[in-house]
Amino acid sequence: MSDIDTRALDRELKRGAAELMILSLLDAQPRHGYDLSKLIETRSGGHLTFHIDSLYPLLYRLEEREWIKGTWVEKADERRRRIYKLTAAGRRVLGDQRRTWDAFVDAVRRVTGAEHA
Amino acid sequence: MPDWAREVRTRLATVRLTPTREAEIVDELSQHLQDRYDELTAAGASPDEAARLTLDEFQSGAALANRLSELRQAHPPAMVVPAAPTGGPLSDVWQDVRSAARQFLQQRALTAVIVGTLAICLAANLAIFAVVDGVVLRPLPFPDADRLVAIYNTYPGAGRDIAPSSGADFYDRRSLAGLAGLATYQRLGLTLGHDGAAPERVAGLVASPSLFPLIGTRPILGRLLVDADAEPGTEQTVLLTYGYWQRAFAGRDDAVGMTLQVNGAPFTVVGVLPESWRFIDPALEVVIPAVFTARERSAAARHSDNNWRQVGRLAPGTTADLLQVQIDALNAANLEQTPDLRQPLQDIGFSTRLMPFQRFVAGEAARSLYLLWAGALVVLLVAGVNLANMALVRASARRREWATRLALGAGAGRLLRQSLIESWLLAAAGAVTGVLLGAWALWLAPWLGLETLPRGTEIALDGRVLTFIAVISAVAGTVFGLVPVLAQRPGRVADELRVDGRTGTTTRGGRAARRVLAAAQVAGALMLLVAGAALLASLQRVLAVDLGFRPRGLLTAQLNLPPARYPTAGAARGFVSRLVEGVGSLPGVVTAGVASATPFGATPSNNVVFAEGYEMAPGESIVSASHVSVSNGYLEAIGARLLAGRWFDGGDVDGRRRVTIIDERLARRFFPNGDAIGRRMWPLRHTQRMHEPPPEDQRYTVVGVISEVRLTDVVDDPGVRTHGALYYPFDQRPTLTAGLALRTEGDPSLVVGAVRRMLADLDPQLPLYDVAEVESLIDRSLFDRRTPALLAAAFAVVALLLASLGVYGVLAYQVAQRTRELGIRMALGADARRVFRLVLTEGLAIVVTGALLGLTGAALLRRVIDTQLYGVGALDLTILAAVGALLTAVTLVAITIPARRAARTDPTVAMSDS
Repeated sequence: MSDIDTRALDRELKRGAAELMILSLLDAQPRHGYDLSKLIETRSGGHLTFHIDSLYPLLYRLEEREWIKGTWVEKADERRRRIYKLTAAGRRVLGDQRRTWDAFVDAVRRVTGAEHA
Repeated sequence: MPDWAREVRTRLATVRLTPTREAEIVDELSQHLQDRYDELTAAGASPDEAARLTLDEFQSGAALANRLSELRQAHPPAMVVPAAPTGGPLSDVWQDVRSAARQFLQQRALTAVIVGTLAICLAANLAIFAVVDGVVLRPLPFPDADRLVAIYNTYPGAGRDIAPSSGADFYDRRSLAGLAGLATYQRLGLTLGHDGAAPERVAGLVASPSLFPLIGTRPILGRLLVDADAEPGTEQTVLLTYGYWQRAFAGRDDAVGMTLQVNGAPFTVVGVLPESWRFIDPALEVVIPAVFTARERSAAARHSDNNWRQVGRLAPGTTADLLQVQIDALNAANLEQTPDLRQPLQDIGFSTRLMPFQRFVAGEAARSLYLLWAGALVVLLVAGVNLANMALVRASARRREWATRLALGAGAGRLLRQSLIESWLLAAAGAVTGVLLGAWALWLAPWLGLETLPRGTEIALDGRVLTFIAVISAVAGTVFGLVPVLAQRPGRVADELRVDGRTGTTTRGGRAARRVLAAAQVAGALMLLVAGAALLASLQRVLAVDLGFRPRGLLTAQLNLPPARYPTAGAARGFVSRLVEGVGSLPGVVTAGVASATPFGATPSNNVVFAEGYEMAPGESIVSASHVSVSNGYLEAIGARLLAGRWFDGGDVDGRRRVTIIDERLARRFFPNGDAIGRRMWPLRHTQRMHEPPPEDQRYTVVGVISEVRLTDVVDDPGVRTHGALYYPFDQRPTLTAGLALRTEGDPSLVVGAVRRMLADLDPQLPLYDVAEVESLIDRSLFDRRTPALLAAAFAVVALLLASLGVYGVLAYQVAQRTRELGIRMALGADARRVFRLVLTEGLAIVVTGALLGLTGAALLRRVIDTQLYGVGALDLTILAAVGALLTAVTLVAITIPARRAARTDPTVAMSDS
């Protein structure tokens, strides 16, 4: 039996969306944390902001699940930075999530679209 | 510019990280803050403003710490944090104990149910085990007790599967190479008196002196009996038990050498047995040597006076099988000497057998005790399944908590420990309560008739019993503790976290397991129900048995005439006639009579009996019947019914034609055509010339046929098939045992007082003993049927309730789990009746499966159960129908409650409520 739990949906939407965004951004290229927060803010036109106290715990969680991997990179005259990149597992999860997300958005659109037709 | 690292570190203070990881995080987050600060200043913000805006990244003081705390890296193993303020594994255990106790307090009702169920089942197991252990399992208190064997004769054709041996058998067998020692003994009522004290009737042991080395006895005073004591014509000697020595001689050292009157004859006290000495009957007061005359030792007496039991010790290196071979060879050689006996003994199925002495002592009780023990274990299993199911339900309610903790690195071991600690605490609470309940149950031992069991006084709540309870409690606790952890296999944890929000829906496999367990419970309950119902039905048949006389209001008491003072038949005759006359004229006595064996009193003498003109078919066994001498009016007094002929009368005296009254069972055996009256019968006189009739004047003419009076048991024990009884006029066949039977009006105890006073006038040296109402004697004789039947029925009822609870639990849990599914079904148009039927069908499937399993089990156990039954079979249709109806009624209630709840599911509520 497949069901949609509304309260859970709410949580899922937020957490799932955040995960999806981060995995998508890392899919293109490895980035560090500050970079990720800037990208999300600018690409969402300032609608979404990721603060330090929610961004890093999420990154560490994804890292613990082995969907992303962080490594310290040192450059001359700069402090060392931790750069995250997508793992193979992360790529699979991203694929799944994208499909689910598309289906969900599509379903919601059809429902809301029908209402306005 | 603020010190970013310090800002971050402050916010991480409450998070448990390894120092390395903490440094990394501080590094990374400081870099982030620095980037933000640089960006803001580059955009033109003042340093103060930039610093304030940067720190705004931290929305609240605790958010970062809280989120990080959920991560696995925030739960490093204790050992990599050397400075962690924990007190090691012991303090962790203590923490688990406290958290479990807190949880139990919160769920008081559930905890009470679990502990209570466990306690009741453990109490039942404790009580049964204490009895089984005391009666059957615990080794007899003799050195190398497992080398002791009982040697007994068997005459299945005569209705005695286990019969004692003769004195001649003892002298034959004691030289067998396979025996390191052999003793013969019998328990005998003795009249003891000394120093003018009123003589009393006690339980005595008559034994060959070889008994003492055999069971390793040492005296605490004087000496033991020796072979010389058992020679006829020597001074008669007696050995005192510690209890009798204390009671009768006040523990005086000079008791040895004093004289004790045993059955009216002087015996010299030679020694005292230790306080701990026990042999077959704890009530024994004295031991006297078994003295056999030369004739009693001879081959001629081999198959007569079969009153002696034998216990032997296997010689080193010998097995019971080897000894059996030697005994068979001995019997064969003996038959060669007495060719006349060969055919009759063969027809009667005679042989001599061995059995471990311990099993011999436990006797028939062992089998019903084992059955009850099995019953108690089944109840515990049924209850155990409930507890495991409850643990499962609790576990699935805590799935997310556990999954989270596992993901956070709690480690499966830690969870296992916590689950086991909780479960052990429950088991320990159940065990302690159970021991208290069980001790109380054992305290009721007399009411249950436990002391009537062989070794019944050895039943005790001792270390062995407590160990048993501790072991089964620990096993139960461990199993119930493991179930939830196994159900929570690590592989599942990731699923649990991923499908965030799913409220613990169970897998198909888990649901099936629960149903199988519930069906197994029903099966166990059904088997117990069948056994319990069959035993109750059997008890009912036993209680309805026609006893052949009227026990109500009948009082009996026993007398024993010492041969020393009643040496002739005439003396006994004279005493009994004066007794009957005297008692009959006492006020309050309605009717009275005397018999050598009153019903459920003294054991009647048994002997082979023959009838004139009765032609035995080839291979037909001779039969043994009870022989009872009765005074005139005795048979009428006990309420026997005359079926043909007449009662004895004043003319049936010594010197006149010898007469007998037989019971209908014997009449049917010898005179199936109903022509018993006028025929002549006689007891066996010489085993050597078995079929040679006695002289004309020693045959007894049947003058009456009466109802079959049950003499020792309401129904025959397994291994005993009675063939009826012959009654003789006391005057024509006097005996030295004289049981008094009387009916009174008014208070029987007043009449007993008058009887005693009258008896004191007749013979002040005669103790009147075993004064009892026959109804209470019958009651006592039924303990071994009533107690097992009631216990088995109680076990069955408890098991049925527990199984119903199990079925209810499974269904109720599933209904709760599937509320949403049921809501959808109803929203899609399924009506309430269909939903009701859906749950009903599931429940019935469980019950029917269980019932079929249970029936199969009962069918397999049928032969064992049937041995305990009288007049019914375990699988009789009426029993099965009754059990089926009860099972259906109770389980239907258990099924209907969740089914109705399911049918009342509100679709909107079901779908909105997660």
